[in-house]
Amino acid sequence: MIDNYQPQYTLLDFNRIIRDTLETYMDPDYWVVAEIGELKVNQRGHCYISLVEKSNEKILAQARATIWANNYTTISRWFEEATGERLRQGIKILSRIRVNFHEVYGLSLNIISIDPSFTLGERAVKRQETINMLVSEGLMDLNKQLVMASVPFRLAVISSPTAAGYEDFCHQLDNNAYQYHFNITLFKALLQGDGAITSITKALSQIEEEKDRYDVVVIIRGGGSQLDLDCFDSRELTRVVACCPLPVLAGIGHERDETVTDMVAFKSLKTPTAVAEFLISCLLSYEQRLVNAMDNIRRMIQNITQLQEQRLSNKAAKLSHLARSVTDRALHHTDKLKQQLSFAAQKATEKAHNNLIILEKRIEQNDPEKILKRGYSLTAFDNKPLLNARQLKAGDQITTYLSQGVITSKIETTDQSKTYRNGKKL
Amino acid sequence: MEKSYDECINEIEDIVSRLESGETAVDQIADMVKQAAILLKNCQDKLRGINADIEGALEG
Repeated sequence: MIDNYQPQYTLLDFNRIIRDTLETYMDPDYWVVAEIGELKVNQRGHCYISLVEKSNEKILAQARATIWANNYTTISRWFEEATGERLRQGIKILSRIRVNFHEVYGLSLNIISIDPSFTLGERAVKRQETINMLVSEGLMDLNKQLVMASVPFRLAVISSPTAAGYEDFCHQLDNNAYQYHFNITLFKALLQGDGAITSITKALSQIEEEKDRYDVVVIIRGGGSQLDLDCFDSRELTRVVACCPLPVLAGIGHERDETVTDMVAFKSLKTPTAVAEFLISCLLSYEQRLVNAMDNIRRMIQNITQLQEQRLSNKAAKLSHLARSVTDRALHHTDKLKQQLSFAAQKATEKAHNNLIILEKRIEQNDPEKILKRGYSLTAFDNKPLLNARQLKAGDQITTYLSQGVITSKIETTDQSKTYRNGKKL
Repeated sequence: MEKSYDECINEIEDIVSRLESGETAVDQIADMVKQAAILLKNCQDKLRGINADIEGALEG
């Protein structure tokens, strides 16, 4: 039943009452903190945002708001310049909202400006929370504590294949001046936007499954936009990077302060090209160490061989000297033997010579011709020297040889009692 | 078979001893001296050869 005393309004009147009430009791505008639950820009450039307030992922409040096209260009550009990222779902903003109520279109919330410093602060808070979490879980330096391969050439690269940074990275490696060869395996991933965390985490998980095939993980973003780096501050991604069993090289390529991923990575470099240069320098450094080691080995071998050569030379000199002294002694001995032999031979021949002289004298003394010349004669009987008178008898014919001539005689008598001794007749 | 250095030296010393004893037959003296001279040359050649070998080996 309708109370007859209850006033009745037309819808227009009623909407006017609402409008008047709102205009009377509400300020012209309010600074409201809310998360962008959804954001759409239509073809005419108007931006429609669903603002939400959450507590533990439960939506506590929600409202639709609009940034009209004439404001959106200015607001969004200013926001991007100040924060380094564009307005998007998931970020918290402090927006100045004007409440309008139109009799035909109803209630509308128009965003007339956004304070980027609030979002920056929010992000800083989130970032610090991630850092605190990593520190408390002991993950901050975990990846840095890994030992990188001395020759990191098997690279698991997480990037978008179309990213300029990836192209720069590959070009730098392929054209290195030292002709080092790198094995690059690309794990395609989104490196910005809503799907980045899941995508990068999935790629890291794939790499971990075949970690023995790689030396390092390289995360390359780089090139173009400096936006949407928040994923690199996320708890989920930074934890996975920190726990990666391989050293992670970050070449995210940005100008703003380093992300938490940069902080937990094994090494962070400004650009993909810088990562490539770092890898080349690692190989160069290794090669240099090898060259130095070879030089040292060569020097050591030279020293050892020189020392040994010197020792051998000394030994050889000593040996030569010893051998020489032995052979010299032996030569001296043979020389002495030669002299002895000469002397002995001389002595032996001299003795024989002397004997020969004596013999010669004896022969000379007994030469019958010489004896005959001295007045002696030789008497022969029966062609034999006659020595004894007893050999003869009367009538025997004997021959007497003188120095000059021969006498033939006939025996008359013989007397054996007489003989010749020492020149005397006995 | 070639005689060793020591065998040669012993033989030379034996010849010298026999020559020094004065009991050597004259006809044998020349042959003995010739034999000793050959042995002596043999020994000296050996010694010079050893020296050359040592020098060559150490220089090589």
